Amino acid sequence: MLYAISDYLLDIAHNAVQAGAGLVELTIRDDNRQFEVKIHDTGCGMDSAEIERAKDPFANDRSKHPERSVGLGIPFLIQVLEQTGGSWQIDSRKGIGTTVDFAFMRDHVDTPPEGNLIDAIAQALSFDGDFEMVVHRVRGRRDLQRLHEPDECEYTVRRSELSRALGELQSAGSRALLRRYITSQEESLVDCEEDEKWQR
Amino acid sequence: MAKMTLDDLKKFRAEKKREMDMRDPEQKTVQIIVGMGTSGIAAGAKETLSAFVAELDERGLTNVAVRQTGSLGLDFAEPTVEVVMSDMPTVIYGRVDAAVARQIVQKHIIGKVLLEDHIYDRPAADIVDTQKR
Repeated sequence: MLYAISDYLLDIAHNAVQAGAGLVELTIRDDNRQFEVKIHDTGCGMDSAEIERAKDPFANDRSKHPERSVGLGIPFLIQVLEQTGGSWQIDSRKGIGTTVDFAFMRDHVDTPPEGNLIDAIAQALSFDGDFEMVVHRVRGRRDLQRLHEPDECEYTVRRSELSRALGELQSAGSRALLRRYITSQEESLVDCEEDEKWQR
Repeated sequence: MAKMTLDDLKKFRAEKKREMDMRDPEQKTVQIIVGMGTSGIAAGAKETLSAFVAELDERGLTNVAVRQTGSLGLDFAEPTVEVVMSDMPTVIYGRVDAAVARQIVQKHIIGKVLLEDHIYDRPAADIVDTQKR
């Protein structure tokens, strides 16, 4: 098991990058009821048999390690969500991409802690490779479909813009600045008013 | 902290770059590669990576590349970290928590001395054997 929600977020975001995606969209929304993450990628995608295998801890395509036959990222996530009243969904189409959605409920006693979200976001943005990543972050109850009007309860960062501003995202100097940047974005977030249109 | 803009980020970067260029150009060849597979993250690789970045930044070693990869294949010894630099053998360190990460910067990268208690792969077999005992 991973320790914190932020760790699951980073692990699943890494899957998206490793799927060879040109674009990874990471949406993170939390309020006092739940912590919700949506990771959409335009990577290789999976057919229904492959999705089933991804959920099986003792199945692995062995592409990463020829001698290892476990793959624990998705199975851990599903197990902890099912044990804590959370929800999840995996939608994938071969050759098109994958979307993994999950929501942790704050009121369950066994829900993992949030963990260090700033590091998780900064590190998700800094994986090696040639891909765009867009992180949408929303605080408070707000419909994810209505992310087009930026205000103080949300922010959006793009890997391409950060990469241009910093030159690269690998040196310790760039990483320290990126972390500072994400910290300042997080600290400036204001909890949104209840959005009447947000009904589950 | 006031909310930073991308322009602020560019400005800070330009300042840092000036500092960096005055320092040892050798830094550019130093690479720290942190295993960030599921088992690495479970063992705290996120904190390890942050500790490397903080220690390097505090010591002005801002040109050192810190990279993230999947599992390095030594899951029993996570978090695992590979250090690649000239004048030193390439080493995979294991059980690297935040404190060990800071020691790697101080001893391996700055002092050019191996941290023998945490070596898990690559250098001469006798060194690895010593620490298994």
